[in-house]
Amino acid sequence: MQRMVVAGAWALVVLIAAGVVGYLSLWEAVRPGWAGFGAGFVAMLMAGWGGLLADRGYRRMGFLLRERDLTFRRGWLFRTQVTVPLARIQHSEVHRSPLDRWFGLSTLRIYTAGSSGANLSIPGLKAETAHALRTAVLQDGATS
Amino acid sequence: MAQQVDFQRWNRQRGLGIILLTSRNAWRVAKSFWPALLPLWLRGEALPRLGVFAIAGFGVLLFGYTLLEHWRFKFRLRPGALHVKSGVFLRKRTVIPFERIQAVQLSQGALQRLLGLTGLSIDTAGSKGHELEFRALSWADAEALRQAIAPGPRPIAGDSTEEILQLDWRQLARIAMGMNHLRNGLLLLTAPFVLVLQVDGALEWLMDEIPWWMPVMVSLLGLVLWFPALLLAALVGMLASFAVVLMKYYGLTLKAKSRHSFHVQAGLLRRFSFNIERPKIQTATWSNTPLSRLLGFESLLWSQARAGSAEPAREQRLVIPGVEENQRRILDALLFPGWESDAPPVLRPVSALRWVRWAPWCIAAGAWWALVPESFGSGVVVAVLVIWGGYDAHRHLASRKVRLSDSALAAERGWWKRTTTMTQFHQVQRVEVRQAFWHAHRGIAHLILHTAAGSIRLSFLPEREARAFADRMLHAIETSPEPWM
Repeated sequence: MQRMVVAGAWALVVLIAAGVVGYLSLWEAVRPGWAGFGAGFVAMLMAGWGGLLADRGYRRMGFLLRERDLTFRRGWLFRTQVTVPLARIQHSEVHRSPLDRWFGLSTLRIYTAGSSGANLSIPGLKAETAHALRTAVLQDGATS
Repeated sequence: MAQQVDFQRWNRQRGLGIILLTSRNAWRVAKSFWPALLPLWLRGEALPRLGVFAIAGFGVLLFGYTLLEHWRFKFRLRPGALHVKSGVFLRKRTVIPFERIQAVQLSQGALQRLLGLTGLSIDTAGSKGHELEFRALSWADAEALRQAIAPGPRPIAGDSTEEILQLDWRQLARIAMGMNHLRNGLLLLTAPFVLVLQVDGALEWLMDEIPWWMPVMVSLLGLVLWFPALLLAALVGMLASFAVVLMKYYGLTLKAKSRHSFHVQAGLLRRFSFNIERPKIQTATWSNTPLSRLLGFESLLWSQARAGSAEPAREQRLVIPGVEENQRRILDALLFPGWESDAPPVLRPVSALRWVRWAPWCIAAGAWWALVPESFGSGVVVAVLVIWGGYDAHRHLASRKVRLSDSALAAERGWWKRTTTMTQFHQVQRVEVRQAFWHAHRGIAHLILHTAAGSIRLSFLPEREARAFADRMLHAIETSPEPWM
């Protein structure tokens, strides 16, 4: 389910891009020629590439909660793996975008000291998973 | 002079502070309006009467605002926290708990010294600049306030204040010598021109005023005199360096109190006195250049925890220049107990880094060859680019290493300008392993250690070692009982 949403978000982006390209190619198609075909081909390539990224990215994405730290891994072309010790968490936030709400999902964001953005953000969690994870993380952080 | 103010009641700052506030507000206004005012002044035209009235009225309003601003700023001490009321239109009540204070700094600018006032600024981890700034206290009050809000460790018998560093004239001169004179000089020499050229209409004015033969003469002279001009720039820069160093670091003293907190003071016209406790220092960075190595010193940068921005604000870093070899050893031992500077390096980058560093030089050389007509000269340029790039890549690769003690690490990089960034394991906030697709296939990974005062990047490590080191760091962080700040 989560996988579909992540892939779906990507596909949406790609579809919009493809739509734009397709629309432009329609203009070309008014005049006969192969420009329209070319644009359509590019749009298909983009869609394929986006789908590949979404699929591979989803397969590699995951989090791991251990006794004293939380690890999150993401990315296929560019891979990152961030580990935050629970004792270093400053605050956390459960974020839901309109698209997330549509699919019943949440993003858990975790902040540590010394930087402006979220330092670890786990997208595509079910709402109850996100809340459970947050509770677990904060309780352990408080006791350890 | 003893403390005069009872901090338990609501207090205002000294009345003379109005002068400081006025000058600051006037400066701010001037800074935002100068592009509009300067052309008028340059053309020497008389202002219309309405304009004069408008400016005068604005000035009166601004002064009124300044009075209110001074009047509204009140502070008092409560158990465990400092309370401040401030603001004219937007009223604020700030509460700063003592245990959240990172560092307290007393400072006196030239004007403040003239008026017998002292500024006090408080840093916390949640602000980009200073969290709170007092401008007009007496020195005695400021010291009493600092003592009250950041008392520091209780002195232990037989373990008192230890002086680590005091700069004398000879050392100041050496620090000034070690600066980049050419850059300073060129900056100084070009600054007036850049300023003038930015003003709309100033160029036309210059064209009208200067006789036609002047530019011709100047450009002819410039052709002949480029070397003396560079020399002049270097000389001017040297003078500027001396002036800056003298103003900033005159009488710089660094003391350690009970091996736990540090006290730094310095300054000729603008004096400052800075207290920071050891746990609040997140990273320490040593840096030296060929010139400073020749003169036998290096400089130390302390960073504290900060909010947001990637680069530390000017207020949140403390530079101590002119530290000699034996003083560095003392400081390292105080900051990182058990540190051995000749410990063998444990982590080195993969040799592929050499090609990554060399590639841009080779691309530049290729572009030169493609774009510039072929000749002997351009062949020389290409050869120099390629050889220099290779040499730089080789030296750079050799310079990157990580050393460890039981509780701290030092990341070294650079061969021309060498920097060593040090931090304690338990001050690391999170650990990140990063690699691109093609790195993963070659077993390369970047390791990034984020501290509250910025990140330490250890790039192009062998993946297996990077991951093992990340685990080791995490274990150290998670088992350390010490607070990170």
